[in-house]
Amino acid sequence: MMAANKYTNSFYSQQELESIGFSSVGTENVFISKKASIYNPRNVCIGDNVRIDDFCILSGKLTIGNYVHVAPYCGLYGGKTGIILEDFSGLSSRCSVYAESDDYSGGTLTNPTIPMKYRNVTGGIVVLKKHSIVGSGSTILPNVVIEEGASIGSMSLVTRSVEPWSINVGIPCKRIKDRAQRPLVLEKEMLEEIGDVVK
Amino acid sequence: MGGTSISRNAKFYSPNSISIGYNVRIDDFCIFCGNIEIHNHIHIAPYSCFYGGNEGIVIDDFANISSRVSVYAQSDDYSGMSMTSPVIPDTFKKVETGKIYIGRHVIIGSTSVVMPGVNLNEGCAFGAFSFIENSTKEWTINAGIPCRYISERARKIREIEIQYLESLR
Repeated sequence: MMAANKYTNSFYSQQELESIGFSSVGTENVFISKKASIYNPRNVCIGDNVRIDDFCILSGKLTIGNYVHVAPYCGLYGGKTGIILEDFSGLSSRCSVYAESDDYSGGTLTNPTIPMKYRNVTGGIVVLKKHSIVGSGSTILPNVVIEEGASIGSMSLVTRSVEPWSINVGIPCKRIKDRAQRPLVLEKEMLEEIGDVVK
Repeated sequence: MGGTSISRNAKFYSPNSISIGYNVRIDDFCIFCGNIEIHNHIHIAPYSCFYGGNEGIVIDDFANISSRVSVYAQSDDYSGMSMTSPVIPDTFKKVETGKIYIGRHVIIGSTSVVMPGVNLNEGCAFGAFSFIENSTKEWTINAGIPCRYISERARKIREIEIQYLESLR
């Protein structure tokens, strides 16, 4: 009951979630903080068992699967290109994820107050595949695929795609070793136990 | 061209000592305190914060501040020779202060930190996660912790700026 009250105060109710105007939103255990900023909810799909915490920004095209947690202060800038967070993926606090970015080289003007013809905005879809996890304060640049089960250490800058079930850290981040694959076993056990279907 | 737009979720602690020009966009969860001058055609992305103090921060035309950038015109002494934090009276602290100038067409990448007293001259670019503690030469690209010179930056922006401003007439 305590937990229910806590969630009632901080997070949108199911009825409120449905009135926000998301492209789609789950009906089971979806907790989105009232202090998150949601731009263009029509371009946002959200699954079941999702929690999005305080001061997050959801902007542009976003697809969020099931069992996904986005911790406080994360910024997801999907633009027209899009960001996909697959099932069981997670972002720790203060992460920034960009699917689009201005040209920093000096060849064009930059920033959203300038008309598009004077800018060179380039992008590429960003995907966090199943069981991938990103540590606090990290930044992910456009065109990056965090492959299944890969993990990114805190304060990392991810400029290129990372391999499945690898551990990566640094600015820019580099692979340091393999990651254990036990989440695959636990996922199966958990879904069987609660009677959910294995996707 | 749009006017200036400021998020309702941005926080201004000293509105009387802050000036803002036209065609400026300030996004969610930004914080501004102390003396700050923001000129024209400027975007300040989410979560960035500006601690102007008495010395102040000036942001010139067409500058870009990406998300999570922290700009300090004053900072506590971390050496252990004095106390720190805003909850301690000034007589027990040694606060380092210095005016900050962010020049025209400067662009600062996400999560960078700018320390007191630096002059970021026209056209400087800074990569994401840069720690900027020294002034930089105009039209250079810099990155790193602490940030270092990497290369010259193209100046084509200046021609495009002229075309753009003419298109507004």
